[in-house]
Amino acid sequence: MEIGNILSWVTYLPALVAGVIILTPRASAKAAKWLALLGSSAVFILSLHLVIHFDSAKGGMQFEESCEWMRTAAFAIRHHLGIDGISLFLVILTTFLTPLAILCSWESITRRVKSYLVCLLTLETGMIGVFCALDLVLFYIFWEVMLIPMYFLIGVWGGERRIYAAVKFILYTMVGSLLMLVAIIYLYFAHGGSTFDLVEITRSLSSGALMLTSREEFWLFMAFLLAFAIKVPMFPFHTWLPDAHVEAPTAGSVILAGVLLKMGTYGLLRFCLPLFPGAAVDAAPYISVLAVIGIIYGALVAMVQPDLKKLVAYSSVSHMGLVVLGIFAFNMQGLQGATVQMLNHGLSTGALFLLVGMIYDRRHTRRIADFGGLAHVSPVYAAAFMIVTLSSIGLPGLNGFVGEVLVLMGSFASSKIFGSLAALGMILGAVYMLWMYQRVFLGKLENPDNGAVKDIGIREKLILLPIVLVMLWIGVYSGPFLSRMEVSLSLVEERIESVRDPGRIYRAQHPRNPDQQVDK
Amino acid sequence: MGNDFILLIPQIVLVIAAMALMLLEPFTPAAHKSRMARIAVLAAAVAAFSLGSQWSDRPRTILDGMYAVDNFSVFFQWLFLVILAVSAIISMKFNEREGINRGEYYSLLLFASSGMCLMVSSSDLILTFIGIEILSIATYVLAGFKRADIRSNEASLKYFLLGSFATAFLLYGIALIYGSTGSTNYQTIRELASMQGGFQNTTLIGMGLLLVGFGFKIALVPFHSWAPDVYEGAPTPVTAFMTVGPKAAGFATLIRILVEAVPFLADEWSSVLWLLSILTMILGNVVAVLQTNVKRMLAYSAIAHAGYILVGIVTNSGPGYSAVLFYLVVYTIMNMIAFSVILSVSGSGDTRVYLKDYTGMARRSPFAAAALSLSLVSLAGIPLTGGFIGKFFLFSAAVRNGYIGLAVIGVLTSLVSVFYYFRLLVIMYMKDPDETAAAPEPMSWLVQAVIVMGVVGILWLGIFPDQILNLADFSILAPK
Repeated sequence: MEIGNILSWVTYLPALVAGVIILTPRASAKAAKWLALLGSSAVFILSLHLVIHFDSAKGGMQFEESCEWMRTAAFAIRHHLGIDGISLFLVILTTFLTPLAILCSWESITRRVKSYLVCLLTLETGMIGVFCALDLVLFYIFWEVMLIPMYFLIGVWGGERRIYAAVKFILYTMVGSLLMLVAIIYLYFAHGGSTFDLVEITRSLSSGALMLTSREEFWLFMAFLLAFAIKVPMFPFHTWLPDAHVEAPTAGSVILAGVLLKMGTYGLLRFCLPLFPGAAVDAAPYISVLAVIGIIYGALVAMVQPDLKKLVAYSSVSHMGLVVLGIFAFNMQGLQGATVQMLNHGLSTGALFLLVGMIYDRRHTRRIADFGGLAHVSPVYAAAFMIVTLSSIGLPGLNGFVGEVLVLMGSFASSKIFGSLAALGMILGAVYMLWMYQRVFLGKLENPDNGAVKDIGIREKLILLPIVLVMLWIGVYSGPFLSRMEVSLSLVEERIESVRDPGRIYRAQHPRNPDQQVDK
Repeated sequence: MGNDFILLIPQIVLVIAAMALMLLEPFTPAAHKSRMARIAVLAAAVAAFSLGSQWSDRPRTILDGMYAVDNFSVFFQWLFLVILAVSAIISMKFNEREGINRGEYYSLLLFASSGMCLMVSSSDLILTFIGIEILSIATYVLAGFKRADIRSNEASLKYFLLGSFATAFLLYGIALIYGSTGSTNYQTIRELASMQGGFQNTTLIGMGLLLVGFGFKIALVPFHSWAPDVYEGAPTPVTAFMTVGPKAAGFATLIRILVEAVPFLADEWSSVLWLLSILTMILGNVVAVLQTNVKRMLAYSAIAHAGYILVGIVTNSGPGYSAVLFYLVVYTIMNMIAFSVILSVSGSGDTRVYLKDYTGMARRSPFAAAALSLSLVSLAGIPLTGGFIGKFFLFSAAVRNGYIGLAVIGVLTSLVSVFYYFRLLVIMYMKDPDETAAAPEPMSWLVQAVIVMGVVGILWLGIFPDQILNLADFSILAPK
């Protein structure tokens, strides 16, 4: 069965549900919660259609839809959506995590419930839009619009320093994206002022119909890179992340770690590499250094955190550094590992934040020192936490292993030093995670407040079960995931290889078919 | 001549309505003064309707080349008439509350608007000057309309003194241009210069003085110093009017002079305006961060927005000018919404205008808070609002014409603006209301309707801007 305009449905259905919630002010908070849960679950089911009908033999865009959005004398902006092997699983990750995020705030959010749900749902639309948009302006619009609901999620439902964190979040992420906007406009006019369409611009660039000078390419690359590096976040642009994570409500942290950070690495794969491969190759050593610093620095800082959420936040810095390192290894293992690792990090870190949120709901503290021996009173919770911890540190048989091994193989192939340092980071990751686990769950119950902690209930089990199942699935049988990514990633790899090929410049300057240079 | 007369009907309607209000004022009982506002709105509607026939693709001049009839002037006159109507509507309740509900107020609004309409239609420096004076004198009085309020007095006096100073610059500039070219008519100035194959230094100096004069009127840095005090002290509906009306009129007139009278100086004025635009964007946004008075904050934001609009003029290109026209429409809507909410919060005496007075407002009046938030988000240039599309087109015109530095400064200063616009959002949504925070007074259905239309307008322009953009494309004066 084929569904027409399926990507539009997946993208806009959450916003539609949000609209219904806004327009029914009389409905109770409970009804709104059910509506949001059912709506976002429907989006998830709809998005499974994408996985099932995805043709893994094709590298280009699938499920494409394109129509004119704005046309004036000077501009043509299209509403162009499409996904390939890179974005497919990120869309699924988003639709998968959002119902869980709604479910996890079922009881913990009591103030302004409806506005909260509206924020989560519009956020979902924004995130899916970012992964599907193929027109640069459309992409930028989703990219920016998504900030507003996240800003409110942190600022209204967050912790004590929520306002500081919210403002920091929005200012940091906007610095990069505004410069990216200028770069997008520049690219548009460099391309003859005819289209913002990513597919067409990439085609012109790779066929040589559009030539950028190396100086232009460098600056455009930097403008895009800054936007994505802040979002990832790469060292040294990471300082907004711990604040935002610590202050955000649980669902906010889950979405932030699970999906928002992926937008940065997705942007690198989708825009920086295919559009500006030359500059990307030139910058790769520097970016890899920053990525390695991020891996080790994040791990070391995570080790000394007294607060569970902060620990997980810094572990994100470390893990996302690994993803960046994999991308800039420019080989198949690295790219594939990075893409899988994006998915893994979304699952494992999302799950960690969910787990931390659960204990916070019970104890209203996140300080590691306040816990100890929790395994005695809440064995199921402790077991779930163990599985997620092991997934996060990359135990074979769970999802984390697949991504980490691929990335390490990829980066070894391109540079032994970076590969070994990254491996060191992985060891440190095991250290801080297991040490944290030991301090929280093992040992004696010393703090009397912990004696009354109830184990997780049915709702919480329902949240964790699907995540754990997917973790096992990827860990044991990653074939269906890898095969769907492979062809699309090989296109990225080819694009990079074409730059390393010395004959490229000559061919681009002397195209076989001169008609190609004429603007359409 | 009879034909010319028909084309002047919009002006005549405004002026007759203004004088009629003056005459009716003594005979209208105090309880029915709001009728005056309705008459003003009616006059605006009639004038807007009679302008419709002037929309054509055939620009021409009447009255011996003094008065231009083209889409550019029709576009702006429509905008001014909307501003007039909205200002009159939001003033009614405010004026009743403050005890200044008198017919002269609406009469002055009408006169100011007729001055603005004259400014954009004029293609002769003398007529332009008369338009500017009609507008200025009416706004001097409006700024001081709360006679018993010392801040309003201060605003009026300051505006009057500095405005007169600016007028002197303007007049001196006009005199020098006349002296060196022998004409005050835009077209003649242009043609004479092209016949002479160049320009004299006195023309350049005259143009410089003219820029100073306009810099005052549209509050460009470094000629902006009057704006925050005047905007703060003037009655809030008057502030709303002043931040959009005279500003748009100033820009429109400036564009007409630059394009029609002195295109041969394009290199010179565009480099001067380039500098002014950078200074204005930076200073307006940075100083706005420091404000705790919302009216004052929006005053600096108005200065900053003048800087953005100037970016479009600096490019001296078709897309740049149409972006300016589009942005002025969006800016008018955003500011009108913001001020409509502000004056409903400001309370008796117009004193609750500080950030702290908005604490937790989202809980007490969600509608007003949401409308204000949307206009602030749009002012900050976030996508899906008209403000984003406006900035997008302004900055892309800059990039298109090679002014990449200007675009970069523009986006970075917008980032600064996000900080202060969002601070108000923080206060309204993320803090709980305390006892000191005022509950905004209920708005009349008319004001609510205006706000709803504005909200729809902002979103409409943010999502489907084609129509207004195409309208703007049809309305620009092609660079000569």
